[in-house]
Amino acid sequence: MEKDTRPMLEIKDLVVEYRTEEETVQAVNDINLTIRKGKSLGLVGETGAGKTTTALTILNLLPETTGRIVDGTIALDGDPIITKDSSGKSVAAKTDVEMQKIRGNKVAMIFQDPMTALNPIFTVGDQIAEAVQLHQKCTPKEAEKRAEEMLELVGIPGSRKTDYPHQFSGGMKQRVVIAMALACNPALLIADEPTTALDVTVQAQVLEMIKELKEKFGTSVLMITHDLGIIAEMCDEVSVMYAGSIVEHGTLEDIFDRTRHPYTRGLFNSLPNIKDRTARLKPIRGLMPDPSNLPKGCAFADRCDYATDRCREGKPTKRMLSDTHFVDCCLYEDGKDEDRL
Amino acid sequence: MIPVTVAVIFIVYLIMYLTPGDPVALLLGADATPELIAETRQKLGITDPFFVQFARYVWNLMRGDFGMSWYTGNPVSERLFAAIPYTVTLSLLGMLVALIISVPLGVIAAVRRNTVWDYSISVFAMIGVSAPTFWVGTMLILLFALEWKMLPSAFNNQWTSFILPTITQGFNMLASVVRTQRSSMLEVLSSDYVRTARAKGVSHFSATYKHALRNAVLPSITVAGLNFGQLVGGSVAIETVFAIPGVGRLMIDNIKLHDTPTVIGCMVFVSVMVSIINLLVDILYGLIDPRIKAQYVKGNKNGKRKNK
Amino acid sequence: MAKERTSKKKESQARQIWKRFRKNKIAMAALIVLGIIILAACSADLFWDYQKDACNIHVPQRLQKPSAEHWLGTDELGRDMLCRIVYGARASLTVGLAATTFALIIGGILGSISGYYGGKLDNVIMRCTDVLLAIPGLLLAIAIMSAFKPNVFYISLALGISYISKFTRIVRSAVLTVREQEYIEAAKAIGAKDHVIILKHLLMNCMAPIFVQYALAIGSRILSVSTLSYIGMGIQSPTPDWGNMLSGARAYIRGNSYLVLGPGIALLLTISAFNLIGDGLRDAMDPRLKK
Repeated sequence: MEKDTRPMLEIKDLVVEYRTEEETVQAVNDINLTIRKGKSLGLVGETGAGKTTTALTILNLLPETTGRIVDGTIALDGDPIITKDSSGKSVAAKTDVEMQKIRGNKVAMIFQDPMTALNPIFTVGDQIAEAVQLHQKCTPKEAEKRAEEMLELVGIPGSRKTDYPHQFSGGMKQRVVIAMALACNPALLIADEPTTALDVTVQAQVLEMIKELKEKFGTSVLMITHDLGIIAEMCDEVSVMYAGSIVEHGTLEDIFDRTRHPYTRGLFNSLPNIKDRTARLKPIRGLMPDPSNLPKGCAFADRCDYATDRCREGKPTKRMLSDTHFVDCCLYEDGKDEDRL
Repeated sequence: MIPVTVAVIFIVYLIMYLTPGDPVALLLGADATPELIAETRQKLGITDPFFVQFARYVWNLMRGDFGMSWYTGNPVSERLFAAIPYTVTLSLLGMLVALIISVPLGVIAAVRRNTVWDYSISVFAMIGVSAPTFWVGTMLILLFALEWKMLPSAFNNQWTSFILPTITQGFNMLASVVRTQRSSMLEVLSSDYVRTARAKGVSHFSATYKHALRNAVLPSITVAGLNFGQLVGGSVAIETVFAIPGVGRLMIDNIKLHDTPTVIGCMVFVSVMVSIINLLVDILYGLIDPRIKAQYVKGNKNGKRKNK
Repeated sequence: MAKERTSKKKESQARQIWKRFRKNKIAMAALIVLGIIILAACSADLFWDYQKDACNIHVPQRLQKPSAEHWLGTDELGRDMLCRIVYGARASLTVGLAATTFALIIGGILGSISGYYGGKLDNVIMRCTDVLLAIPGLLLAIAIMSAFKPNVFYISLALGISYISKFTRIVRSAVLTVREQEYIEAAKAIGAKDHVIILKHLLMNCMAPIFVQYALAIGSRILSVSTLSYIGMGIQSPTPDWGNMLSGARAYIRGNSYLVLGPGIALLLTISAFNLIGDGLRDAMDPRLKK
């Protein structure tokens, strides 16, 4: 690891809740994430684990009426986004106008569903050009030209800039979304399940493209997905998220070759094994606990084959098993790095 | 649109054909001789089979001939064309006023939801969709004409006497559109593409008024188009309240007189007007929404654009 | 994200909807107001004699302002306003319910056939509703009324017919969304008869939007019946109806605003109660849309 590079994104002790009249949902529970410049981090987990919430929090775009940052800090390239005030309360460090200059410029985001991510009544060229004009001093003509270049870059003929989103297929729309996200050369790209809604062949193309662009421009990437294959393909480090917490974190090798957390193991066991097709899939039994009513102990205990009374009584202690490998599980409370699964 | 209009005329004609009422008695009075009655029946063509009568009616209609009034003996078109300007003016003005006021109100309610603004607008809209137009008209007369003496209570052809009927006529549509606009605005504001816009650095204001509003206005246009029929239908009551010599008033008066050709003429006119407005709404919709426009273009060119 | 949770709650859908509906204060208030109106309409005979108080003319007492004896005053023919307003609820509610139910039954049958079978039949039915929707509902009702005697039965019929096409549309689109679901396929696969599928599976599963429309439609029909009565094509005097009361008051409103306030507010309360209940049902069925 190149320890000399400064972190592009640093999230510390982040806690986010959704509050409605009926209930309070704890979407993110005390997570820490660091992405170094030019590196990419994979955030893996089931639907509802709090991955998208984390991403929206970085951009300060949580739903205004319900979303609330309870605790934690976020810094972008050393510049605080969420900070603590004198009484220790987490507050936004920047006004919305200041955030507008960061969104789409320094940090860009690709959303999960390309079918609904583009405004149906504006041409794709206009939508890309809008991003350019918001952040760069240029004439509308120049912005349009830049939009054309971006389309070419993602493999769409520039002449199609006057077409509307409904004239594109899903994969093409995602390319447009990516073109829009990259139009201002962001330092950090947040990709929220960028390929989940796409066909397999298109998935590969889109991933390949993100990878190429990342190498070309040295962009840091936060890749949110539930697909371990994508992680293996794209990422340098991996965080496994479960019920709003990060249960295991490490380098790609740590997670893939030295899997320690029962949940991570469960994710691997849920994948079909091509080499041994007679092996049965071992899906993780049960469902994620209700995030408005999390258990007292380990949130995974009810679904875990290794759970003991200890797991149900209290939260596990967080442990670093090596310099890079972190795990949040009662099995490793002695801090020894050995396979106990 | 034309087949629908012909079908509408057919239904109206059929209903009125089945309605009891003897035109000859109306025209000639009680003491006519049997020969004269028979001769008049022949002349009016009401001894012919239904379909012959209907075909003749449509044929004449295409030449602008609405037939002859059984009551006055003059062409229906004379009285109809005298009444049309009032009804058209009031309906269109009502719709215009409704749209101009309702869209901003709906947007305010959505943007400031769960505030006093939202609650008062919602209560106002609920009253608007629930109150009968004739009662609203009566209340307006009570307040503005009788109590404060600001405006005339009955129609007198001056522009001031258009104000209350216009408000009354537009009130119901105004309320429906406010409700639609509010909920569609709320939906669009939480849509993925508004979030995308925010994520690329678009300001709150621009996301609301540039990205969201144009999308959110589409359902309101639909609702306004659909409600136009109701708005025109309401003119029968409104023209009674304000004593306006319009088509609705003409129709009601002549139903009571069993003057079938006049009634049919009124109904046909109103239905055609509603169809035209709906056509205009479709065109407007296409102008705003490129997806709809593409459908029309594709439909006309038989999908030639496919391999672009 | 706080997405829909796959919770273990196994309550029936109807009970969940009712639970959410009960939390909606406005909708519950509307339900209570409506309950009071219905109760008053049913128990009117306990307080008044229909013929004597609501219909017979008492000229010496005409146009009296509200007083201890006549809480809402007397009308232009000397009849107690409160009494007539309460009896007027009967006509409005009866016609509203009857017309809507009639429209729902016919529209429901046409809509489910149209949605379930599709094809040519669907096309024909849809073209017919297109035509009927092109005629403003109120005018269609007026035209039909011109052929019949104005009594409750024919008024309900006319107002029902003019609403059939709307219900046909609503039921059809509800059926279309449910039709493609797997349990319908499953029912077909085990050889269930068509009418069983339509009645048991399709309609039961698209009850939600239909209920909402039912409540809203009653409000709309009551509005129409009052308009019909106002222009003299609906319920005829001396039978009390809010519409014909307002019509009768027309010449006397100068200085007698109580004549239009009473029946008008009764109409407003009743119709908005139905509308609010419809809105509340819709929110309860789709909590996502709730503000």
